[in-house]
Amino acid sequence: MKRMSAKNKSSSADSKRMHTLFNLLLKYSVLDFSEKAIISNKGDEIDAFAAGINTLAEKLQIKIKEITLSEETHRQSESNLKFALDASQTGHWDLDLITHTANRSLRHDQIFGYQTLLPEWSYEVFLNKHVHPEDRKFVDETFQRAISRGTEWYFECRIIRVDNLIRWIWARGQIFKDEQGKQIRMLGFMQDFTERKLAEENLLQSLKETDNYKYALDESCIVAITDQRGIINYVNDNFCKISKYQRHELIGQDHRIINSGHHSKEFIKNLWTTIANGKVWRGEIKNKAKDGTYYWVDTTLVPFINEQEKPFQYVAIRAEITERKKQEEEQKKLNEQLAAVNKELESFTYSVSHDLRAPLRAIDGFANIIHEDYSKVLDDEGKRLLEVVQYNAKKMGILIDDLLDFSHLGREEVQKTNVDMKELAEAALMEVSRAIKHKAEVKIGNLYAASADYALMNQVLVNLISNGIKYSSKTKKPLVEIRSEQINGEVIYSVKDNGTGFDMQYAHKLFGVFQRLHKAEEFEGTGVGLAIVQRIITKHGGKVWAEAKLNEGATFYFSLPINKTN
Amino acid sequence: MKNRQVEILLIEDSAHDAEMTIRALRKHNFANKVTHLGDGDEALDFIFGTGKYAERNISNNPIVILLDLKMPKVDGIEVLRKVKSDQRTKTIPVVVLTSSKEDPDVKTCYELGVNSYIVKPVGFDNFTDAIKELGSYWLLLNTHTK
Repeated sequence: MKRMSAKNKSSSADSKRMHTLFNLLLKYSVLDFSEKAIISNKGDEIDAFAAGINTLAEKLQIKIKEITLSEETHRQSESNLKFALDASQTGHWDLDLITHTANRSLRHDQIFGYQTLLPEWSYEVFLNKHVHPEDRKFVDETFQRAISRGTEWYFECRIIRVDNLIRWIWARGQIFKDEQGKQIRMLGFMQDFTERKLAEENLLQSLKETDNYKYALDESCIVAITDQRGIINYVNDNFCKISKYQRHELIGQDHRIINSGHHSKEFIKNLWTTIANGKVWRGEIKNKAKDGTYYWVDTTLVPFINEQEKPFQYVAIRAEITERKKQEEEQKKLNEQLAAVNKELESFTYSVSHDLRAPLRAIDGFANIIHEDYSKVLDDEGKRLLEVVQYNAKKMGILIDDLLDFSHLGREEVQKTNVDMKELAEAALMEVSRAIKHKAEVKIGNLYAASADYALMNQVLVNLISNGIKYSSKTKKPLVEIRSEQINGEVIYSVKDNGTGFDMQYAHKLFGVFQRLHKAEEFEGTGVGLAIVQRIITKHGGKVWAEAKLNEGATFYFSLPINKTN
Repeated sequence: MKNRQVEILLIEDSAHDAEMTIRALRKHNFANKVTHLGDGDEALDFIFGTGKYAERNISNNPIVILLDLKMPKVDGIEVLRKVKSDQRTKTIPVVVLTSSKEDPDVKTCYELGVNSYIVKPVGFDNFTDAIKELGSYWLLLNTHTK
């Protein structure tokens, strides 16, 4: 811009206008005080103005440039904002309350399931068409309250999209006012954050569940948590209750505070090695309470592993088993007592057999010596009396042997094999026939095989067959029959004779030791045979019983569990 | 007597059992070679030539020792242990005689190297039979070390 010439004379109207201009220039500070000082010379006024106007023009130019620049910046930041909103999938809307023109982003409508911008949108469309009915009331209230107070709003609600999907959104907005406080514009943002919301809900749910678990654990168990060095940093009420320590007495201590000294160093070392290697340790521990009493706890130690796969804390979950331990110890004591009694019995058995047999041997032996050396001076009655002495000594020897055999059975283990019972019965019959002379006919049927101890089952058959032969020996045609049948998962073997039988009212006495239903003069025997049979069969998991009628024979039965391999 | 060849050494505390054993042996003509000792202590002195048997020539080992287990003071197990652990005597056959097969010492006897183990039967006939068989086996059949 060229400098203006200021050589024309001015009129008073001009002067007035000039004055206004002067003030204007002053206002925009394009005249400085030094220039003002020069203006005292009226002729120079015009020049000064011209200079001022020039300066003003320059300033204006700068200003225009500035404004252009800031508009550029504004446009730039607007597009940045748009990009940011889009990238964050945030929709927005903008309502001019003066002109009632509204603006929405495409994203806004997409949140509600539309592909393109709708021609029409209103608060009513939002509230009544898309907000979930259950959320509608509180959304409307929140929104209306914000408008009436002129404050910001924020809410989360479920929406039903146009494709009927239910989604979670959050909405935030603000009302703008002019200088007079009049509301002129509303601006709102919203975002579909269903995934985050669900994750949040899941998290809350699992936190709640964790809380529930913790509650259940605390209610039911004795719980302590220690750091990786074993320093206690949490104990629950049950822990305090059983250990009789206050919580503050335990926190910061390690478990040595309740150490009973009962367990070996190896035991403790093994425990620590296990959990330090990140493995769960289980066991039973004896602890000492504050008052010096002891308690037993079934303990599970669970190491919690960090990202370096090292335990950073241990959770100890315990249940009290003091009562059970007491019972176990009681049981152990009883077992020891039982073992002692058994041992005593064994040595008693030995001394019975040793100490009773020695004098018997002498009685029989010396009676025999008298018989040999003094038979000339003894008459027949003397000899008979001597024989009675010997007979009874021998009988007592047999009694002692039978009794010992019987007590032996109590200790013997059953060693089961697959036993051909027919073959065994035939062998037993031969054994019996060698020992006693008889004229009995013995019929052995096709017997089921058995899973049994061979030697013990042989003993059973020998005893039953010899019984059958013995008690039928006074019958004209003695007959013994051996059979077997399968009934209800068992094999039942029977040994039947046609001998003297017995009265069933005494059947309960049959299997007792030294119990006899016949006089010794009628039938020999010690009364141990059937007791042995019963003991053996019981050991095999079977049963023994008998059926008989006086003078009409007897049948002895025994059952054995079915032989699976058969 | 001190240096007489001893064929059967009977170590038995029961006088009655000893009497019957000797009688049974005599019946079968083994009796003149029997020496009977009544307790383990004396038996050890005899076998190893100590105490009152200090002058006995112990190279005259008995051909067989019949040994009762249950004896006061030094019992049969102790005698057996000493005999079987000494180089001079460990080849002497030892037959243990006892009243009962229930004897808890049976296992110990076998561990110590007993040669035979016999339960004395109650019946006199059985008893003499057992003694006879024993005598025949060890004195007549068995080839003993000289």
